[in-house]
Amino acid sequence: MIEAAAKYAHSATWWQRTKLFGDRSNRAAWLLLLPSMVLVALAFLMPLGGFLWRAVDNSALSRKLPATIEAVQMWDHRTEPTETLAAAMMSDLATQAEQRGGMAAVARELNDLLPSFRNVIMRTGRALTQPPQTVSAMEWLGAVDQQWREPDVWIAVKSNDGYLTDRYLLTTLGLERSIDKGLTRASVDKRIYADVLVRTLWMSFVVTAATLLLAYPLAYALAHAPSRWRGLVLCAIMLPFLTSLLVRTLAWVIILQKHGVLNQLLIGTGIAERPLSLLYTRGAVYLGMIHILLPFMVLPIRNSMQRIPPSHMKAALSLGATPLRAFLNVYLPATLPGIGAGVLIVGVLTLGFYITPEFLGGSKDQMVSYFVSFFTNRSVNWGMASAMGIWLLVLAVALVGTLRWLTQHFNPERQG
Amino acid sequence: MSRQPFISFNSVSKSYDHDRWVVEDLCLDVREGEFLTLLGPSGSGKSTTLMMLAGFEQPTTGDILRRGRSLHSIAPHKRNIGIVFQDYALFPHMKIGDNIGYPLRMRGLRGADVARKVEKALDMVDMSNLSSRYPHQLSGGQRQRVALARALVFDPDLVLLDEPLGALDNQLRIRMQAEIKRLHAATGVTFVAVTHDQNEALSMSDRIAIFNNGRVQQIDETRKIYDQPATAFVAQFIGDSNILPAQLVDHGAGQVRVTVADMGTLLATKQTLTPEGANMAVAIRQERIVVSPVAANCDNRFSGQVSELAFLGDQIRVQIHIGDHRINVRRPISEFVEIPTEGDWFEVGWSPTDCWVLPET
Ligand SMILES: Nc1ncnc2c1ncn2[C@@H]1O[C@H](COP(=O)(O)OP(=O)(O)OP(=O)(O)O)[C@@H](O)[C@H]1O
Ligand SMILES: [Mg+2]
Repeated sequence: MIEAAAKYAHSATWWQRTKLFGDRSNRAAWLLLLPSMVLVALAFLMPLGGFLWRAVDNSALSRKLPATIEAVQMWDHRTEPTETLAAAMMSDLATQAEQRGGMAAVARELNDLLPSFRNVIMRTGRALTQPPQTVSAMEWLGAVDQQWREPDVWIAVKSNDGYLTDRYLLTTLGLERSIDKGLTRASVDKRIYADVLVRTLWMSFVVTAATLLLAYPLAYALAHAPSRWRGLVLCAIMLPFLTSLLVRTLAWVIILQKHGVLNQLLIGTGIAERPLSLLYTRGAVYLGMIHILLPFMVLPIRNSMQRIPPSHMKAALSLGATPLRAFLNVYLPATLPGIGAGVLIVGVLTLGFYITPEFLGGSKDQMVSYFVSFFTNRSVNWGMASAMGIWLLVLAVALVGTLRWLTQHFNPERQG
Repeated sequence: MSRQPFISFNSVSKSYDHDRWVVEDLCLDVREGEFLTLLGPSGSGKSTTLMMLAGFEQPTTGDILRRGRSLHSIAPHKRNIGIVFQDYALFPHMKIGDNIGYPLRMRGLRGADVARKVEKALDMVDMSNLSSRYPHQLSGGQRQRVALARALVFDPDLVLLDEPLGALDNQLRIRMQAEIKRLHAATGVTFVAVTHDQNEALSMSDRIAIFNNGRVQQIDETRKIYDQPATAFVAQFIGDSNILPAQLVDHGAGQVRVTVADMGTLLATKQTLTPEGANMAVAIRQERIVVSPVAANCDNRFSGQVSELAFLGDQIRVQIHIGDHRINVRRPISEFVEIPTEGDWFEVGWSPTDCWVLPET
């Protein structure tokens, strides 16, 4: 018996000495975690990293136009474009023309630097099928399209000659980098993305704040109302969870459209004379989003309310606090963790909202996600899609960080 | 001039569901400066009574008066009553100092005034150096002290304590009983406490009100509750008595004869104040029953089989079966010539003066 105990003690120290893996149970815990960690790495971190990488990736240009990239580095951009540049470009284009889709890829890259340059490239590509004679490269290119003689395209290539680029990220902020590396404001048509970021932030703020204001009394009713009412309210709040996001959004389309339920009601009761344009407005987007997100706010707040012992409010009252002050001093602080969780969930969800603004909003009500989708699906500009995505991520992380900081500084129970 | 009672419950009844009375026809006076304990089994309506006094529940019928004025329309936060809750109800996000200062700030005090009073209150409960801690950093006993300090710091007219020691271990409970009694004496404030622990009630109170099923069975000075229980229920609840349903043979007061089914005739004492009624019982304190050989000299003498035996340190509790009755006896070990075992026949006895005839409830 004593021997066995001694043996056991010995084995325990042996395990403890192998600091590398911790003790046996610790190692088992790691093994159990392994599959989910691998899954996260493969299915989440890697695709995410790959996607985000595209926001700064500029290797396509140097792969497609290696000679040109080399040539522009020798060229002083204050002088006229030289014959060397033109020759290099011609040789690059000739190489690309031999590959399937090569010219299209070059066209996409250059069009991204210089709008409307796609046509120039495609025209040059077609001209290349009858190989040029005798004339100099620059004269030949100039004959195909006058724009080759201008410095713009060469300057654009010269200022994007690295493997990495910040132009997507700058564009999303409404900025541009000129050839001498200084930052300038982008042209008006490129400035809309900065507006989209600001708009997304603002809309998230409005939706989160409105949801919080609506959810708090609802949660209170759920936590404290007589039990026969509670079930009803809970049902009403949870019902939306049972239908899909798309269906719920489309339901709002049906309600809000020109000859929809609401307009019929307004006209029927004589409140409005002709149908109001309710759909494709900011208000419609807010309405839809708040409706969809309400449960995410109500549930955590209700949870924290239910955990407040009834004696706390009674104590505050008995100590001389008016009901309002008792609420502000005792009840509200106790629900802050719930509010924090609700704001976090709703805030992060609103930042990334896509379907609801797309269906219920006009062109001025679209949020970041809309443009991520637009750049990936329609204009196939992965750089821009990814740059918008990065800002989405940054905003979400900033929100999480702020709330974490707030809870740690204002909730003594989390400290120590 | 007849003095107005400090607090008086005037036929107060309370029902939550309009079906069952939780408190029924309660008439109770609280004297200024006293320590009154409401004692009774679980669900007998003690907390409800306390909450009506605090203003969190309204009487269904009847009225509560303070110095002759109805409390009915006075909101809880205007009653100037300090409450110590069973879970202490300290505000978790406030430091101890802020918790204790809370009632002062609610009364418009600021800065140095608050600090001075908080310090004094903390001193009073021996907690001076813990003012900047949070409640969750304190032990149960320390939280209890803070709750007491907070309930006393604003000079309340009345302090209510709902099972104040329920969450503490036995040793600490005994220490805190003394502490609460000391605070009561030091402040002179009226205390009304609720408990279901008879020792707590006996050790702290000036007077005790015994509750059962929403009714007050007896309200009296602590000694009197113990020495002259008004009903068999009180005798059983305070001081561990054996209760036997009985029939009166003689009428009148003093020493009387009663018959108990399965046991025959007993000699008992009937106090003049006990009313004549059909449902009577005799109550015999466990510690007043003697065992053989002393029992041989008693007027009431019975033998039964031992069904249970418990050692309580210096005492032994023996349960014996006499007919259908189970009689519990608690005596010092030294009095047992021979310690019986289960199944043994054993003789016990008691004097008529230790055997009271009481109405059953
Ligand atoms: N808010 C309420 N709603 C409905 N019934 C209640 C409420 N509060 C108490 N009761 C009921 O009233 C009765 C008396 O409760 P009360 O809390 O006054 O008893 P108590 O004497 O304090 O008991 P304990 O020693 O268990 O605390 C119980 O049967 C309880 O179920
Ligand atoms: Mg109670």
